Amino acid sequence: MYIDKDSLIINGVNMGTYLTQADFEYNKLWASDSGRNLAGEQIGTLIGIFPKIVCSFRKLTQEDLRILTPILDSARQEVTYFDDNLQKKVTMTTYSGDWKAVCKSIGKVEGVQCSFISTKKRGA
Amino acid sequence: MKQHSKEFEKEITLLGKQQVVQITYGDVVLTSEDINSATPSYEANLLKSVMKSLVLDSNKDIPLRTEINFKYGLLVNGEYEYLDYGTYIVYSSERKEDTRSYEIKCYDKMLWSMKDYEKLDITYPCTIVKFINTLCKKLGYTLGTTDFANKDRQLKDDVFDGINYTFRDVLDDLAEATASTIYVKDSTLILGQPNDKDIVLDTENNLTIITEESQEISVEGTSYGETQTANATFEENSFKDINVNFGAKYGPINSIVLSRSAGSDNVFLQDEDSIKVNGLCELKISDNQIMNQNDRSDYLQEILSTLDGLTYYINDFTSTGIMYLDLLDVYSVKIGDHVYDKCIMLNDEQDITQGLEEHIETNEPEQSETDYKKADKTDQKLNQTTLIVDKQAQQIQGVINQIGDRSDKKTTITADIDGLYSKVIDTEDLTKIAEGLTEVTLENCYPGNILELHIYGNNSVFDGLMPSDTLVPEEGLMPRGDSIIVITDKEGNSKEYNFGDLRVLKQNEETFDEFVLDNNKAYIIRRIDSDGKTLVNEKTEEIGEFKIPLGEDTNTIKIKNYTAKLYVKYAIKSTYTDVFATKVEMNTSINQTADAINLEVSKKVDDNEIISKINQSAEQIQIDADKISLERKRNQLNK
Repeated sequence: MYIDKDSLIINGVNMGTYLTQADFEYNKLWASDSGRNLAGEQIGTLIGIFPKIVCSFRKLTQEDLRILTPILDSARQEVTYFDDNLQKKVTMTTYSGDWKAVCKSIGKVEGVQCSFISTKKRGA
Repeated sequence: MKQHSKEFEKEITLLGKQQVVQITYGDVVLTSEDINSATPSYEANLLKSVMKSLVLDSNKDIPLRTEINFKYGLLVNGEYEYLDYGTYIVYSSERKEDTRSYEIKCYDKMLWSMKDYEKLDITYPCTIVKFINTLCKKLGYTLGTTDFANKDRQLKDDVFDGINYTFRDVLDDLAEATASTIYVKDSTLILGQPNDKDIVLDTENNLTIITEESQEISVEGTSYGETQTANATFEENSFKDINVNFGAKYGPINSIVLSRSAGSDNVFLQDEDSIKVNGLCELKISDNQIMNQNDRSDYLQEILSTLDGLTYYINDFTSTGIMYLDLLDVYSVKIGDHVYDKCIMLNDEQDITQGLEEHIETNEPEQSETDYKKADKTDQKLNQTTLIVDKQAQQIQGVINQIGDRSDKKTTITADIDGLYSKVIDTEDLTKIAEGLTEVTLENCYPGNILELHIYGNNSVFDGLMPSDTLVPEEGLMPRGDSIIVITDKEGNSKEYNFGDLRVLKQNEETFDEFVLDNNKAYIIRRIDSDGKTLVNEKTEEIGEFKIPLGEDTNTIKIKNYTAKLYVKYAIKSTYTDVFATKVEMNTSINQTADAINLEVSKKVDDNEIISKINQSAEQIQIDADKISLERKRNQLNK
């Protein structure tokens, strides 16, 4: 949850001034033994909860992109966010998805969106 | 069964279980972050030793021969509860460059037995329990089982020396002889049996095992303060929806067969009542070095007592993960209306990756069919046919022995690396013994002298009279003090033989004087003095030469005027007695090696021996005999 303007930091950069929306996903990852048992019941091993934050950015200037693109292009990031289950700020190592910038006017881009997915299951 | 809580049993079957593994050695702790997968497994059989294995896919290497402890953890009520799998030894480590990880193979401490057998520091004969204790000390184990089948049976010699056995092979043979499955728990050697005892753990973490006889045996241990029933029942929620197979019920075992090499020469013991009700179910033990001598049938009773009635279901299934069952645990399965009430853990493989899969399999022992008409209950009998493989001497010996009333025939065939040897011995005893009180009847007599006569003292036989000076005996009264025996032939003709003036033959409890006629010479052995006391050294009184001939067929021999025990040995009629001998021994032997064949036939008639020999090699044939008879139409001898 985005509880205040300082509650989403990625690689030391406060995302608060750049976001229009942040989707906090708590995705369950199931092992390959998932399926049904002989009684027809659903069974499986839960590998863990892998939090994912999808960041949607406002229209960005060249200067904004100068700050953000190293983060978006890096293989790994350190993300600090407020976890709704744990009810505290948590730092996790993430990997990021692809991103694109849509240019409809000179000097500004829009529609930039990027996902940050935890590399490890959420701890206790 | 590995110790665990009731919550663990429930959580492991539920959707969304979360698991970890942990490996510790020294100060190092490897967790699920370092271990990509772990596969603990074992393959067991009844009456065998078992070595458990653990295969790891690890991001970190572990040095060879490191002793590691492996645990499996399950998230229960917010905390991880661990099953302790015990100690393993790292056996090999292989770097896999494609996954940038290490495949590490580990085995439990049964690995210490995987080396060549060395003679133990022990004095023979010794009991099996002492042998196992000494073996444990040699290998670094502690013996954890004190009561097992055949534990007090004696090992006469070291049967494992020089036959290229490993200690593991020795444990396999011991497992068969003790009717157990041998495994190691950390450093403790256990001779195990299928376990369906209830285990109760109290709140102070003490373990109490309740036996079938409702006895309570207390054992110290750590626990979660829960009751754990070894004979657990599993239902559909423990099984995957594929590969769940249950076969027929094996057993009940009601026949134990011991066989020597090539499944030959069987001895057996059966529970006849069980066979009548359930049909025959045999368990065959072959080529066991401990049970390879002629006392092997002595082992059968305790083996049968231990295994008699053992029954279990054959199965092969994949479960969603049970994890806490251990080797030899007995469990039940209920699927729909079908109840498989006795299953034994013999084979288990747990695949712990991101998910969990456990494959459990129980097979029946290798099937055997014994021809019981050609088997026997013991080797200790008059007519023997045995085949013994002596691996230490590298020799196979076959013996066929038939003992009759008056005959002993034996054929021995011995094969070793150098050749094949056979010997036939046929011994006929042409004498017979008759015993009785005062009078005995001798049947089927061959005409000739009595061979032996013994009269045993009883303080009255041959006793003399001491009449007073004034005594006048009446006519017809026969005085005592004689030593007359009477021989009566089949026609009723009697003849008396008087051995002269002998003193009474005395007796003192179990010791007695003895009159002996042996080989036509008579004498008395005095063992009691004139006061009736036993002599320190017996004395012999020579009487002289006596021949007491017997007529053909039936004769009776009687002490005329006294009562006493008689023993008579005499010659009987047979096909051999036309040579006037009492013992005829015929020996033939054939010795065959790669270079030559040597034949020898000898015939011994009392002290006379007739021998003929033929020695044949590639270059010549040599015949050594008193007579040579060549029968052909023409004999032409080269100059």
